[in-house]
Amino acid sequence: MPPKKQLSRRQLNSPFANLIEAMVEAKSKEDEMTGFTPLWEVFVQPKGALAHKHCGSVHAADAEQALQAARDVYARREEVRSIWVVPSAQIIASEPEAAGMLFDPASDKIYRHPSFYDIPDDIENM
Amino acid sequence: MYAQGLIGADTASGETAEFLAAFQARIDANEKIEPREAMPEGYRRTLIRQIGQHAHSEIVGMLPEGNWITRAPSLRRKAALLAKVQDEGGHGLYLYAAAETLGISREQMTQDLLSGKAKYSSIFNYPTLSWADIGAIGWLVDGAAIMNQIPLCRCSYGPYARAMIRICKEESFHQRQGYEIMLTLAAGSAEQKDMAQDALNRWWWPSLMMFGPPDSDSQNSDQSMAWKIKRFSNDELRQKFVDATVPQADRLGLSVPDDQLVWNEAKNGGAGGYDFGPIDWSEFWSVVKGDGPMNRQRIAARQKAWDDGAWVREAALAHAAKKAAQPQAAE
Repeated sequence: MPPKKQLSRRQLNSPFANLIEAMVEAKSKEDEMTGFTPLWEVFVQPKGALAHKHCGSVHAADAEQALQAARDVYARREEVRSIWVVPSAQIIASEPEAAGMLFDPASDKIYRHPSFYDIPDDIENM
Repeated sequence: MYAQGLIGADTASGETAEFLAAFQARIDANEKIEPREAMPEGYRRTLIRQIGQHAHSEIVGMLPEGNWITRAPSLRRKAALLAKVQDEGGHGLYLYAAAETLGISREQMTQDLLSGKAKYSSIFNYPTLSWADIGAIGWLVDGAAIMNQIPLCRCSYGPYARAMIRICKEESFHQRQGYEIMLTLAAGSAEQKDMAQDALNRWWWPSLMMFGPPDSDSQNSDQSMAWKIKRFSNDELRQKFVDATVPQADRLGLSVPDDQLVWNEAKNGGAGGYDFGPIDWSEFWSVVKGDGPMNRQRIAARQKAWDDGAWVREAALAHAAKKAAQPQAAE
């Protein structure tokens, strides 16, 4: 039994390794024009301590090249503090059809907003 | 930077009337459509074609200007031109990424460009003969593109609108650097001023053609407007461009090569605007169909870039596969 840390690394890496392997395999079967380089989603953190925000995607063979491409494509005007790249195939997204089920329950819970509560005007600092 | 009025679109849809009406209601409510949501096939195909043409235009558009990087007259001009051409490459990549969200691969789009199936803006099939052409392109071609692109920031398809916002933010420098080149030449020696005038003469009409065929010939425009892919007609945008640009030419002391150009008080609902001469649409269609002065060279250059890059793409994939296959023990 390998140490726990190593196991979790392997779990993290193996789907990606399989993905690349599958892509290379698919590529060797296709003619040259249709061989393809994996897609990565790019998230940039602007200067000023804002959260990382999705800004687009790049194609790259591996993580290092994805970061380099993201730098060239999405950070040409020094407005960026940090970049994340994530293999697009690893993004788990909610289905558009599920939007109502997932998000509508929030819309009738106005008591979650501060303005729901009546406080006299002469109460300060609240 | 280089949106052109869409050349050819396919807006036929096979969906039920209920589905189309529900989709139209979302558009009419100014909702943005996002990648995996249900959409009519005609909407998807029109966007793939338009965003693809736009992306190809950015990439092919690097060629005529790249031609002058090594011969820029000063370090300042060279740094600016290099940055501008790099921006065009970046804009092409934003747009390819937006098109890919609709289910077409980058490789397929590249193949469609190289085979001639996909079009790109007709303007890039003209040669850049002198340094003044770099000024004229920034001023006129980027100016026309900005006119076209600002409304696209409000396009109903989310990823396209977001890419356009990013592009428009970066675009203004392109036009200003071009106009500055024109200002410098126009204020220079007689020979330099002649160069500037010659560039204006050659780029004026092709720039007007960038807005695409006249509304009377643009059958697919109505559906694109209803879907809010397009916000203004080709002729409306062309008129805006002429009205904005003629005073800029006057300020340079250059003359627009159109002897029918005249101020018309009654135009634009009484605000006034320029009447201008007829555009040679036979030239436009011949360029779009592949017989412009530079079509063959442009595609040959893209083909060469694709072929010469093949070993790099293969080596990068092989390297990634090898690294992924290595045992993790080393880390």
